[in-house]
Amino acid sequence: MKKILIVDDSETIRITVSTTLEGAGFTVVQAVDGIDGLAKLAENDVSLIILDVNMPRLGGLEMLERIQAEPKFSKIPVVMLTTEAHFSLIERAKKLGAKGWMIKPVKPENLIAAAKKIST
Amino acid sequence: MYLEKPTVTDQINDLAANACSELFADYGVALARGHFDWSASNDPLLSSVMGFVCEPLRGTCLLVCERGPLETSCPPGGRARDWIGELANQLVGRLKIKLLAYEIDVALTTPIVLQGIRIQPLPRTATEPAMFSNPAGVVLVWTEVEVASGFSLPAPRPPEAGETGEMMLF
Repeated sequence: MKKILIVDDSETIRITVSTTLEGAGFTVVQAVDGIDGLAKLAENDVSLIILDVNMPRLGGLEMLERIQAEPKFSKIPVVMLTTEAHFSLIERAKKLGAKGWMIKPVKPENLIAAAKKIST
Repeated sequence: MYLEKPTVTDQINDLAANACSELFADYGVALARGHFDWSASNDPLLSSVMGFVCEPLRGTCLLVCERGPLETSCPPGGRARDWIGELANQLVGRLKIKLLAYEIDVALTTPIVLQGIRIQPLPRTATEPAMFSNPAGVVLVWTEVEVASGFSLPAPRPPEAGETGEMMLF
């Protein structure tokens, strides 16, 4: 069963994403910010990371930079899930290696489709 | 020097009000905008505050909800205290997207959550919230804005941004 890491400082978003993806057959690990996300990444073999942008301690784009700099993590696909929508930020994430960008609120069917398509 | 400019404040208040209505609709709660005496209720309210800032403009948005619309809009498993913060985050996120049409790109703070009775700001000038009602209860949005001297919002044009709910795979 594929495992997905959701990184978001909102508990409700983490619960919603987890419930949706677990219903579609995935296992989900939750992290509350970028620092927690990196720790959970080291402890779990994940097939996909769903990553918020604006978080305390370490934001999503900063976590993405650290993921890409680490050879054992850099092949894990990352999709951003955020309220941010400016094309310049989206371009920055794409250059950092993100595979997708979802603007909240995300429809459950879109979340499942993205997870099935992108997870390794 | 930053000053409150009523015309800009009114424009941004309208953008925030529209964002609020659209946000709650996306979570299944239809809000009707109106004008009523919201201050008489002694029911506890949850609220969340977020700031937004860029070079010519800075502001704060206060979202206040009675329990009814908050719990009705909240996804299963969510908790009210966290959900009001996320609602404010998504509300101001939508406001940010709308401001991009005016070439205003604001940075956002993280939300702070407050609980109390008759919550309202103490603004420098007389201001009223955007008021919304729903059978489940009341939602209020206050926005305070200051702008650099001489600033006005330009005419809007299509923003260089995605839309709420959009998914892009690269």
